[in-house]
Order: sequence, then structure tokens, then C-alpha cells
Amino acid sequence: MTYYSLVFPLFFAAAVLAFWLVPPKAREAVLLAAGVLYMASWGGVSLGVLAAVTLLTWACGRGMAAAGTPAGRRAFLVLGLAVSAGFLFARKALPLLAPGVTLVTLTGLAFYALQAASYLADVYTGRCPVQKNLLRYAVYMSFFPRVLSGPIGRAEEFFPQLDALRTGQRRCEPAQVRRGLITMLGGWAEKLVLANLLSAWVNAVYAQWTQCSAPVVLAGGLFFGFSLYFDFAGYSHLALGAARVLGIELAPNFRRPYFAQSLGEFWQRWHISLSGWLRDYIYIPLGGSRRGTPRRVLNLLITFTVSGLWHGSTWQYLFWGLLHGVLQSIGALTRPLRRRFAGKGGPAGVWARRLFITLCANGAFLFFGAPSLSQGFGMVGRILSGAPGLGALDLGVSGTELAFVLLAMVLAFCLDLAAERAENAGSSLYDRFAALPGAVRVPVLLVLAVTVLVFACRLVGTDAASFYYAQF
Amino acid sequence: MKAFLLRLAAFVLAALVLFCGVLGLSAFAPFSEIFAKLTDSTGYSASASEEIGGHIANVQADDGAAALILGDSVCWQVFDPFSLCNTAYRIDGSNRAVTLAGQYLLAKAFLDAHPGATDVYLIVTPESFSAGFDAGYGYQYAAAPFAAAGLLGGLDETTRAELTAAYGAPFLTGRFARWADASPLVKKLYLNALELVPRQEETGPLTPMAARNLQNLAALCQERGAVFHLLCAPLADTGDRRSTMAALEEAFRAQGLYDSYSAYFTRTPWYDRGLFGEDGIHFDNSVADMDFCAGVVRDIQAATGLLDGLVLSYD
Repeated sequence: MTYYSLVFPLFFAAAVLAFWLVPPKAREAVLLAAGVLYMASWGGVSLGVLAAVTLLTWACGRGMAAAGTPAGRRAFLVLGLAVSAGFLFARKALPLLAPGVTLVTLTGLAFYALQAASYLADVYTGRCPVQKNLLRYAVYMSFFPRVLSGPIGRAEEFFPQLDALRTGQRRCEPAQVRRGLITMLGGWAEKLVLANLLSAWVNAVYAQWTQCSAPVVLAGGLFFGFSLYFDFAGYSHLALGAARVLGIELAPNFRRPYFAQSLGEFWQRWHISLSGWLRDYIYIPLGGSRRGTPRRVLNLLITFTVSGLWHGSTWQYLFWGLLHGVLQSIGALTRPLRRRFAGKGGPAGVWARRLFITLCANGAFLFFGAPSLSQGFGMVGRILSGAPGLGALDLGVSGTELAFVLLAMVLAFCLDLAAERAENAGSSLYDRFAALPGAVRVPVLLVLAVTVLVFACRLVGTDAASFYYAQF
Repeated sequence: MKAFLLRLAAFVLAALVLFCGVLGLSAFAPFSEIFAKLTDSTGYSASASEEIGGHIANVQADDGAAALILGDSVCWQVFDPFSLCNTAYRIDGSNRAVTLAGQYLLAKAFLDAHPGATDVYLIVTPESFSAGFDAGYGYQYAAAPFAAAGLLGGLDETTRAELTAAYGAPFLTGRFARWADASPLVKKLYLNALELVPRQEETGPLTPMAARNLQNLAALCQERGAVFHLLCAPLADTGDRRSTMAALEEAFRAQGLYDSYSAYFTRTPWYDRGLFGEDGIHFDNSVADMDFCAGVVRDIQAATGLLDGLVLSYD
């Protein structure tokens, strides 16, 4: 059940109604039931593995709290990490080590396994208390707005909110529900209008790259990053909005990454929950930047290689991770030099840096989108060769579609720019939008809703394309 | 909270009304093409309606024809090359998705426009007797073009009820059929919605609908003073095709129709499988030139003693 299947709005409406209509004490049970139903829609195996990981990591958390000695605590931590993150990364690595092995898809594992691992690590370090109640822990693991593809949650953020809902301290507020629904509408627009339209063309370039002209391959490779952004940011906004309607605030997963002025900043804005997880549970425990430059470079390479492996058990993901590790290391090594130019050049300098980072990030994403590493290098070779070939309009995507998606991208850029400025001024785009008169807000939202409905028609009669990150 | 929910409901309603407005707009140029492209609906064109609409216009034309040749796509492949050199015969082979109900309506339209008609030929492969009102081509070929032409009322009550059960009364009106033809987006939404509705499709070599409309067609011809002939279109001589014919013959016998249409089974024009294309139903295009088709027609004429005076040359 994807977020834009015909069934999802009905499921979501039923879950929301049940959640707010039952007594506060029963809300956790409603969330768990919804999570179980949602995961069951992805298959019994996925549900069974989620249940097993939940039960085992909860038991390890309890065991850790009950253990009398540091060695005992460590043993439960290791065991818990083995059945969560360890299981995940072993699955990811298996096809690399044993080519030809095919694994059953376990929906959401890449996300909830890291969530369980972070919970155990936080319990071990004392950052969050152990969750004694299995029901509450199961809600944390199976919370349906994010179980499919994150954002990867943190226990310390989730449980206090769940407590507030259970005790009735947090109630159903129209303003909160409205904001959640508008966030969801924005997410649908990003996915259905931008990502799907853009990926139709980008996928055609990737499928026919050997016949495409060099500029088209270059554009396809660079635009893959944008289509991925709109796809995953769209999903994340749906998750955030759905959680918000249920009274739970999730941490944002994207913060306009293409406005970053360094690659370090890019990773603070792109897939924030994974970047934060890798930073807190891989990079910093390895020593981070505290042990000199060579060690820092090594830590960056390890962290980004793990990031690549997390995305998939194919060489192009590993290469993509390593490439980012190398770029980050170059960034770290050239920092003293770059400091001289920091803040200089005025707005032109800012935009030049943003453009450079966009080119670096999307250049690396070219490999991410390729089905194999050899195709990634082949595409780079074709770009450099300047070969003639198929034009942008020869790929089965009409000029009307391309013109519309470019227009939508300009609009999305303007909105992101407005959001960036609002945030820099201590506000938010939503707050500024909410402050507009209803005569402006309602027509804007109606146009957005109708646009989403029209573009949802693209999915009719096809197998609803899933979110890109659902595959991980 | 109540006020918020009311406003939310009003918003959803307004959005749906506006969306319906978009659907209405999508039937007019240039929006039709724009929305078709943006919604990936270009594959839902009006080609089926244009094709069958053309046949409806042809059979209704005041052209002095005395005989009508109807049939499926094999009939079309063999007889259509001679459609322009025949004035006494109106040749309008279409395809099997038209169903026997559609063939009945085409014949009725012809007989209405040609009161002095003497013969109506229906030349079809066995598949035409199993074609029904499915969610795929059924609506586009058997329902929409006839609804747009206002001809569906000519069907018997049972067939009309079956059509209504399959496609819904509001979608069998000329207005909707023309709207869906003008808007690929509307057609896409409707046809895919049809796929979602569970349906009880008639199966078997001779569906009750096909048998009923075959009898209706014969009765109509008799009433109008024309002779009705059911002939078999050319078939590939394979085990599969032979067993298909045997099953159909059994069904005809079970329905008590065999005696009236025995020529369909006894004068079947069998041809070597190598002359047919990959589907094993149509002649290979590289084979089926005008001379070849003329030969096939002569074979049918010789076997049945019918189709007298059909011109097979433009000389």
C-alpha cells in the first residue's frame, strides 16, 4: 500500500478517526494495529521480520537495563545490534560476497533496523531510558507514517510525544491537523507532479543512454538527482504530514539540500535522519574529527562507504558512497584554503558555491541512478566523448511534459528560496503561508489539490510506481 | 473542531468539483491533447470509435447497395481490398470486439437505410461467438460507437440489460461516449475503473449473447425480406483451430442452431498454417495481397455458391 494508492486515503482516514476518537489510553493500540495492518499490506514476511526485530531488540533493551555488569550490558548491546543493524548490513553485503544470491524483499527493514540500533545504543549510553512497555516499543518500531522509508526515528524524540498522547496532554488540534494535511498535499505534489514526470524522462535517458547525445546523457545524469530529491522529499513530507495529523512531530528529512554551500552542509540537509544516524553511530564513535586529519579522512571514507552499502548491495552504491567520502575528505583537507573565501563574493559567490555543490552532488548521483557501475562509467564516457545521438524529445516523453516539469521545477525552486529566506529570518514558509488571507490561501491550495489529482491520473492503469527509497 | 471538519469537507468537495471541471475542459482543444500528455493518457484515443463510427456511417450511406458483408478482422483483411470496386455489395468487415450485438446493429442500420436489400453476409472466425462485453475492448468497440450514433436502442431488451450491467447506464449515453472520445483522460479513468468492477463474463465458444443476437439478426433479415448468410472466415488448418471449430459446432448443436447454419461448419475454408501470420488467425501481410485475397474469395464462392457478382478486380 503506497501513499498514493487508492486504498491509502481510506486507510489513513480510518486510522486517524479511530486514533482521535478512542480514549487516550487506547491510542497506542490503534497506532500499533494500524502499523501492523500497513506492514501486512506489504506481505507476511515483512511483517514477521518487523515483529521479530521488534521483539528481540526490545528484549535486548530490557536485558541491558537488567544486567548488573558492564560486560552484561555490552553483551546485550552487541546481541541487539546484531539482530538489527548487523542483520541489515549482512543482508546488504551478501549479494556482493555471493553473487547470484537473491533475497526476499523486507519492506522497511533498512529504516526500522537503524531505528532499533539507535535505541539500543542510546539506552546503552544512557541517552534515553529503556522502554519497558513492549506495546509502546512496538508502536515506535511500526509507526506507519514512517515504517516504509523513514525518517529514521530516535527514541528520545518519539516516546515523550507518545506519552503526551496517551495521557491526553496532547489533543487533536485543528491547526496541527491542517498543517499535517497541507504538508501531505505538498508531498503528493512533489512525488506525483515533479518526481514522476521528471523520472519518466530521466529513466528513458538511463535506458537508452548508448543512443542518446552527450548533452542529453549529461542532463539525464544531472537531473536524476533532482528526480530522486523530489521523490524522497515528497515521501518524507507525506510521512511528516501523516504523523503530524496523528499528533506526532517527526524530525524533517530534507532541508533544501541544493541550497548547501559545501558538501558537509549538503549532508546536513539531505536525508537528514540517515546522515544524523551515520554521524552519531558510525562517524563519531570512530573518532570523528578529533584524532587528526588522516584519521578523519579514514573515518569519512568508512562512514560514506557504510552509507553506500546501506543503499544497496551493488557496486555502484558502494562507489557512490566512496566518491562522497573522497569529496568530503577533499573538503576537509582544503578547508583552511576555503576559509579565506568563506562569505566572500556576495550573492554571486553564494550562488556559485550552491551551483558547484549541486553539480558535485548530482554528478555523484549519476552513478547512484545507474543499474551498474559499468553503465555509470559508460555514461560519463559518453558525456566526455561529445557523441551525437537522440535528442531530449526523442525519448518518448513529450515536449508538453518536459515544459511542464521545468515550469514546476522553477516553481519548486522559488518555494524553496522563499522557505530558505523565511527560515533565515526565524520563521517558516508554512507560517508565512498561514498568515496570508484565506482568499489567497484557499485558491492556492485548491489549485495544488486539483493539480495533484490530475497528475495522480498518470498512475491509473499502471502498476503504481513506488517511491525510489522504498527499494532500500 | 466541528467547524474545521466542515471546512475540510467543503474544501475536498470544491477540489472534486474543480477536478470534474478539468475533466470537462479536457474534452476541448487544445486542452484535450495537453491533459492527455500530462496524464499519460495518449494511448486512450478515439481510434476505436472512429473505426466503428466509420463503419456505421458506411452502412448507413445511401449508396444503392443491395447486399452487405459484415465480419471480423479476417473478413476485413480478405474482403476490404474490394470495397471500392463493388457497388452492389457494401463491404464492412470490422473486428470481433464489435461482438455479435454490434454486428446486429450494423446490419440493422444497413437494412434501415437500404429497404430493398437482398442479402446480409456475416463472415467471421469462431472467436466472434465468444466475444462479449469485457472491460478491455468491449466498451470501445461494441458500446461507445453505437451509443454515440444513438443506435443502442435497436438491441433487444436482454442485451441492453447486459450492456447496462457491464458498463453502467450513464456511460451508455451518446453524450458520455462523445465526451470520452474527445477526452483521452476521461476515457482512461472510465476504462480503468471498469477493470476494478468485478464482472461476471460469459464464457464458452458460443455465449448466450452471441447466440441471441445471431438469431435476432436472422429474424431481422427475414422481416426485412433479405437473406441472411453466416459464413466462416478463412482458418489456419491446425489441430487447435479444428478443435475450436468442433467445440463451436457442439455449442451450435446444443443451442439448436446447427441446422440453420450448418454451412458455417461444412464449408469452412481451411488454409495451410504457413500462410498465416504469428497469431495464426490473420493471413501474413506479406502473403495477403490483392490477388491472394481474390483467390480466397473465389474459394468461398465456389464452396458456398454465394457472393454472386462480387467484383474482385479494379480492371
